[in-house]
Amino acid sequence: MTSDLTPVLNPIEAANGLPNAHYTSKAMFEAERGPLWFSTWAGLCIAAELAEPGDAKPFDFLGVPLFAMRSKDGQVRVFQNVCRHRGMILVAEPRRIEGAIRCPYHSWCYSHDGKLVATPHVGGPGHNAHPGIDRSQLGLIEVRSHIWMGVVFINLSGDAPEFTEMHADLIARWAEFDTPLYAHLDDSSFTLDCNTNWKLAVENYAESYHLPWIHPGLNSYSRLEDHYHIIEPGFSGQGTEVYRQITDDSGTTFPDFPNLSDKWQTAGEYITVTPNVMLGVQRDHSFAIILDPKGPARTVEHIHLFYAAPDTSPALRARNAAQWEVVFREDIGVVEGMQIGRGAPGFDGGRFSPAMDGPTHAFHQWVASRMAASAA
Amino acid sequence: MSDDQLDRDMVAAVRAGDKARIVRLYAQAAEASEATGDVDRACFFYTHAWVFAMEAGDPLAEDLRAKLVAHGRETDA
Repeated sequence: MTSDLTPVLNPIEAANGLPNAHYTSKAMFEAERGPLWFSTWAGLCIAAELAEPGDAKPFDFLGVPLFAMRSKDGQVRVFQNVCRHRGMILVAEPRRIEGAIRCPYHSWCYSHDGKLVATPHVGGPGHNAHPGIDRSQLGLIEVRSHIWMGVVFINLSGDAPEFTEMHADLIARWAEFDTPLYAHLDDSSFTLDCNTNWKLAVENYAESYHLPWIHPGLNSYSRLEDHYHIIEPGFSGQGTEVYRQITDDSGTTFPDFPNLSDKWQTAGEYITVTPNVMLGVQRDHSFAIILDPKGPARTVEHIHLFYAAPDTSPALRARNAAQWEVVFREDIGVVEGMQIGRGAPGFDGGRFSPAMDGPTHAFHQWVASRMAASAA
Repeated sequence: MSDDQLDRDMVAAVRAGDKARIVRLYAQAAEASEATGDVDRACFFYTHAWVFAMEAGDPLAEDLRAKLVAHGRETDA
């Protein structure tokens, strides 16, 4: 399915946003899968969800069944969640797999690195081999993966440039945060289920223009003029110059990430790694919001906070998580409202403030250019 | 062990989720079949014991596989 994206590719002062179909149409949602998700690096989960060797978790990645696993050697791998025999899914729920990955249907078994190691009775009862079944050709289908900022990114198509090459500029920009990040799934991770297209969450995250109206609690110390735009080839977002640390009742803060330059004393930056990982970094914690689209009008946001040390205060972590949840929940009304508005047949995709909507326009152009290229 | 007793013990082990016991019951059944010269039946049970041992990461897995290799019922690779 295609749409007229010419107006989106205009300069910001003359551009329109993406047509409605990109937010409301099931056919367009499916048409976007290849150009926007499968052919690039998309976020699947955080590595901390697979804490111990053997931990395995299934995912529905835009209709593609996957599972991620931390193998016995400690490495996180992602596979298509399908047995090479008759197509049965291998991992139906999160579990620890101590030994081989056994298909529940006919017990074909795979090693943690995806090799097919057993084909019970394939040659008849008690006969576990057959000349027609070459196990070396029937291993699990591994999906390229890369971990950055605690997030497991995947490239389903297998032919995207290396992650470190594609995102070299962002990796360099945030090199000071390339340090161990400590997640706490029990008190520093939560989900928000939103009736909105995933792109509206990205667009809202990209801009500070809405802050005074939607996040009034920030107005006292993080004014609109304290924010700046980040528009670079390959990523866009916003930053603040007045990050204020959260404290407990005695004034204690979280420990800082080590060896940060002076900028980060009061700065915070918030960038989306397209398509779906919205990241934030500050001196004493970072976060990742992984967008999990369930359809054109529904997205689950998986939010994870990370800290610089393993032993931060649980009470302060809970306070910080609650504070961020307030902020992110404040956005739900507008992203859901924009989703509803996209049902208006007269809406032309909207316009962009040349002064305030640069990062949002950049994201629309990313979508439009990739869709146009795939249609060519 | 009679087949009925094996069945009862196996059901109990499965209900209890006792993977180690499941492995050993199948291995026991395999050995008993081997002792009577019924290789087909033995290898059927060895296969089950081996598969469940592999899944559990049970150290018996290698020995069970070796039995199957020795009977020509598993590749030597």
